[in-house]
Amino acid sequence: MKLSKICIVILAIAVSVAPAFALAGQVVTVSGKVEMQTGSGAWKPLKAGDSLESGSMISTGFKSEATIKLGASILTVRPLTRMTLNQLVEKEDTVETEVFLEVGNVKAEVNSLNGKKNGFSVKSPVATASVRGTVLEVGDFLVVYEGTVQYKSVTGQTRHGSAGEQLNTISGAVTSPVNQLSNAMHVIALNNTPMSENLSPILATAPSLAPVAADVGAATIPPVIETVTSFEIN
Amino acid sequence: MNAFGRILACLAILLFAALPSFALDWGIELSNEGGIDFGDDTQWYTDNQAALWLTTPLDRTNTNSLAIEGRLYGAREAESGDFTTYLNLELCRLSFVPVAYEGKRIALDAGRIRTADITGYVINQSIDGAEAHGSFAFGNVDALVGYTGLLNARKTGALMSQDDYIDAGTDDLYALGAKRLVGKATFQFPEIIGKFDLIAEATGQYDLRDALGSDYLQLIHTAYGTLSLSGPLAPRVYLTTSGIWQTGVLTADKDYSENAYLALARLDWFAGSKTKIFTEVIYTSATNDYFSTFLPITFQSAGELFTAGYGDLFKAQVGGLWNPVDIVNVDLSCRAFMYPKEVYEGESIYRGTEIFGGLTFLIRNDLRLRCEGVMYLPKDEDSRYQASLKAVFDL
Repeated sequence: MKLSKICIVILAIAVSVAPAFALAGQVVTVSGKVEMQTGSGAWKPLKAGDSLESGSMISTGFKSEATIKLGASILTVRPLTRMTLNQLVEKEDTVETEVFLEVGNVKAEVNSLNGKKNGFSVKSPVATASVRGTVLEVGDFLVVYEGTVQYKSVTGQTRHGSAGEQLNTISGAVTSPVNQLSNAMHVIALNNTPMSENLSPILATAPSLAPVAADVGAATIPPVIETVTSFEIN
Repeated sequence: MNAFGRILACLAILLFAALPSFALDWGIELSNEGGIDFGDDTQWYTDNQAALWLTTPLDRTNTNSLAIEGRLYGAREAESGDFTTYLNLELCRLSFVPVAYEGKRIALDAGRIRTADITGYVINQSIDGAEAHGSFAFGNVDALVGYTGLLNARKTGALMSQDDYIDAGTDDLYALGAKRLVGKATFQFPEIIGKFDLIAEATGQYDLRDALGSDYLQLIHTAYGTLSLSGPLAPRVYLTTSGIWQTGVLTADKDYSENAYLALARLDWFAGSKTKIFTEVIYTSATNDYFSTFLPITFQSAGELFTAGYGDLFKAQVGGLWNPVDIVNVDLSCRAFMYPKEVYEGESIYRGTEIFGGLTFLIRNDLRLRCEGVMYLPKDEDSRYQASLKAVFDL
């Protein structure tokens, strides 16, 4: 009787827990010097057709690139990048993929596998990009090509990037898309001294606000105001 | 060398021994501007600046650092023709990050630092004090406490009372500025309404002339509350709306209240990857039975040749920035200045229009050039024009 109770409990647990199957990624194309770290810690060259298990670390060299199929999603590892495939698991109704980007850039085209929802995230030391059905590139900052991406900084602050938008993090804060658009315009800064630096995350990340002027008050002193324009307190 | 000198020398040696000299970064920036002003008389003016700066990390990860910048100013003003020279310590900032955990980051800047409110229209200048910057999951927080009385009066920017203007008119190489205690607290909540950010800010300044026993003609204490909402209206189109409420007391022969407001709306349209078009409207309260003139902590002129500030002003502006190549920037803007209400019965509120254009060239990484042209067309006076060329060179 005791054995049958144990069997019933095991059966109940097995039924209640959704099955999860580890998937393997597959290298589609490789150009230049692309290597993968093996279990022993040694690095070996990666070639098209190789499979990637969870925990695999990949490194690309100068002018080198790799395309990897993760379930139905396509990940392009850009030059001078080091990343780890933390997780690639197919569950009952979702496919969970997690990539840790140590340095460099990756472009992800996230597609649905077997009609299941995608839980696709790219983590870096400063931010996490979480996506569903989207094309994006993550590295120094986030670029969204299609869909919507939730970008989360190490402090837990989040913003959502839509197609055509870019997001970045500054001092634990996530910038507004307008900041990246302004940066991408390459406005020439006349003064590059420390005084022109902006250390406030609010002023650095808020959209469309007045910049810190380096020269306010210099040589623009108007004449003394003689009139009092206020009204008297009764 | 006496004992005090020896102690100072030892402290200096210890300080510099503690600095990682290999990471010390320093430079000299020379900025020279020459221009011609076509007004009632045609006059030349020059504005020359030499900045010496250095930055150094105070630890291996560069999270704590020291930045110092001093400037020598020499200018020949168009209107007076006088050549003035003065020195200023612009920046002496120690930056620390005492808290950097998963979920929160707090940074601290102390010393002589740069600060600005979220609109840039209340305070936008150097100040002696400390400012904390916090980043949390809910948003960002800034908090500042500072004093303006140790700044050079000729470069302070804090110009509110008659006494401030008298102090700023000094001929001394270094004269102490307005004795004002300033506090500021800012809260930013990203994407609180859809993709719109909400920023709430409280700023205040207290005139310490009376408390410190200084002579004065006026005492002004003011506080400002700001609310700002900003976010995308459409892809690549961003709206910012801000409202500033000012309250305070001006004490002269008697007490006067200083209630005023500033309303701002701005639209930025990134028409292409290298083109931005913007329009902005600023309205400040007109003087009447209840409101006085908007009086910010930092004086800023509302235009280039229109030198009045933002008090009693209705300003509408449209402009654009075009960067055809990375080494050339082109900017153009047109600003109309008006009174916020009819001043004289039957007369127009219109005051004048200013058209401003500029070209910036990145000749080399250490050499930038800027050409500017301004045309001011006032309603009742003769037109005024100004053209200038500025070169900034890093040594």
